[in-house]
Amino acid sequence: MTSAAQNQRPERRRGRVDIGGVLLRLYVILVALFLLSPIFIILLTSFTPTESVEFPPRGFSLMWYGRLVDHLEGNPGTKPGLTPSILMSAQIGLVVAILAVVVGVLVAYALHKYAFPGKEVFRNLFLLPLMFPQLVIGVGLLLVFSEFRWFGYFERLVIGHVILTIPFVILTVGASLEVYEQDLEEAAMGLGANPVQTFFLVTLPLIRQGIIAGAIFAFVTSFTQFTVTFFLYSGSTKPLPMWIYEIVVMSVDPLLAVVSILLIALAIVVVVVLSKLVDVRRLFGGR
Amino acid sequence: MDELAVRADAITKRYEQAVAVDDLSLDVYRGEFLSFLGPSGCGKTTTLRMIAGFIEPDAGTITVMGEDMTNRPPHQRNLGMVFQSYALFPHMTVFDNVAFGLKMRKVPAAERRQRVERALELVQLSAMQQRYPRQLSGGQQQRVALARAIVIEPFVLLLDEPLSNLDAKLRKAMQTELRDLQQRLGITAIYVTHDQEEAMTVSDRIVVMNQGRIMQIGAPEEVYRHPANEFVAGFIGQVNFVRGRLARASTGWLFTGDLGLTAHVADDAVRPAAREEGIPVDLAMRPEAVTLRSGSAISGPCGTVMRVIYTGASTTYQVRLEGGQLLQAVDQDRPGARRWREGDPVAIELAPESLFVVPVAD
Ligand SMILES: Nc1ncnc2c1ncn2[C@@H]1O[C@H](COP(=O)(O)OP(=O)(O)O)[C@@H](O)[C@H]1O
Ligand SMILES: [Mg+2]
Repeated sequence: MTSAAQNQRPERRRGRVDIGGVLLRLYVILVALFLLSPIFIILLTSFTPTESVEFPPRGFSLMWYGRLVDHLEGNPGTKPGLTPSILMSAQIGLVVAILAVVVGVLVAYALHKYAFPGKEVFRNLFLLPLMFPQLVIGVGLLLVFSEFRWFGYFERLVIGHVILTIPFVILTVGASLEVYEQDLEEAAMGLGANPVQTFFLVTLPLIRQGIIAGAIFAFVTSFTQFTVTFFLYSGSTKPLPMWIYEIVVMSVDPLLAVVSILLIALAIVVVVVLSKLVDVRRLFGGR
Repeated sequence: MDELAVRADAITKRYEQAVAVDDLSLDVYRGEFLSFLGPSGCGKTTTLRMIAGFIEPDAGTITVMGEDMTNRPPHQRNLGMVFQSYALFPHMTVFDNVAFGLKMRKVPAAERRQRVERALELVQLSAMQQRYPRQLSGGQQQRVALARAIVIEPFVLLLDEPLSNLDAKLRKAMQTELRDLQQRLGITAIYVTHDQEEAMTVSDRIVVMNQGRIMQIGAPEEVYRHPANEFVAGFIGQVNFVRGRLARASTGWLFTGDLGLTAHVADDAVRPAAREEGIPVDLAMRPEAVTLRSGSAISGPCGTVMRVIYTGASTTYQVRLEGGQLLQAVDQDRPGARRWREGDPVAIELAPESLFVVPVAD
């Protein structure tokens, strides 16, 4: 019996094991395990009943989740509270997202719509922070801010994060600008809409997806940004990444695993929200 | 139909590489359906977009309904534009798309609803009001675009190849529908197409363009029967050209082809620019003006049938004359008509009233 499928793949004969196929599957599984292993390890560790990190854990307990609840409040002088850090990072992230969107949308729109000399140079310039080592950005900003002292730590962090995240917005908004045709703006104007009405009634709704995606990227990047934050923060309340760093410096205990799990949960929520609000495929490709 | 709707006066648009529209002047009358026809890249779209206000001319003026519009932004011109891409707003329903222009004009909601419904009725889409553009077929989208453009009661309706994304059958149906609608509303329409049959079907007058310039303006029959030059003759319909020279005859002109063909041509069949003895000109004949006879029957030029192309309603014959010249002849497929086969010797009979002589294009 020869089926059509076998005819199409003559190298696969009846009774023989398809070694290539097995190896390929094994390879894919191994890579997936490799990529996911930190998360698995952290997840398991976070349920440990012991005082220190042990792997594999010796049982199951929510003890460290309980300890985290203790950490939320903090203890003046001895241990910093988690809640103020989360609130602070969320605040920074929100301001960063808004600023990055406003600046990024205007830049992307200008790059899309207008022809001007050196346009390509500018386009690449705006994307440079994506490729620069964050260390360099952090050190550079630190030098600048130590010279110009009129910014508080909140403003410094916002500025640093906005620099990092504008390229995301330019990319996502630029992609959604590519998707729709210039005809739509002209149609609006032909129907009597002035340039401002055209932008708000037609252009903005059309690039909504790119804006939402860019804003979420910007927020998450800021919320979890370590390198640049490390160079720029000061003051009594620490941004979330700094809070985590402090715990690490004090001791590597399972509390870290619990915090990490919460961050991962946040990331998953964001991805789910993102995929609900935005057609990701459309954003990065056809229609 | 004598009042002016649009006047373009010596408008020019240059791009770095080339002149897109070159010193173009044109009057469009109220209520007429005027088409720009020409090959791709000849400047049709640029001209239309200058009228619409999306492109500013480098020189010249544009007047609409007696008002100088040259420097007025598009949203203050009150023109209705229909795009090849339809350009419907994807985030709005059909109703909101059509209502958009009325909203911009601050038409009260009740009147707005009424007018949108009437416009959608005109294009037979009343049932689709709450759909989104992506839920419509190409033909339906094109109708929404049309309704959206006419609902604002524009001075002029501007259409840039509006049917070229539709399949052949639907395109034909829409051509007639478009023409009917324009007649019913009595609206002035300026239409852009590169399809000569389409231009002939819908237009009162056709503006034939080439390389940014107007080659001829005239009714469909006029540009077909009396093309102003070789370009127009070749672009509209099929045509045979025979290069040669003219000499004056007792009545009209005697044409002598470089490859031996001769013919008598009436005086008014020679374009003014070609009325000169001895300069190179082209004798033009439509394939339907060329009739094949059996060799011995008449004394016309002789040749051999090289190829027979049967297309149903008619048959096209390719004939090589003794001088080497290739001609096309078309026969309607009437019952009883003589059929020729490849290799048959034939004589050529030319219908004198269908010949014309045009200057050689530069
Ligand atoms: N934005 C532009 N930049 C440079 N050249 C252009 C531009 N728009 C049109 N052209 C040129 O102008 C000429 C006329 O174009 P267009 O009006 O679009 O022709 P048509 O609509 O008849 O096909 C073409 O040669 C085209 O390449
Ligand atoms: Mg065009």
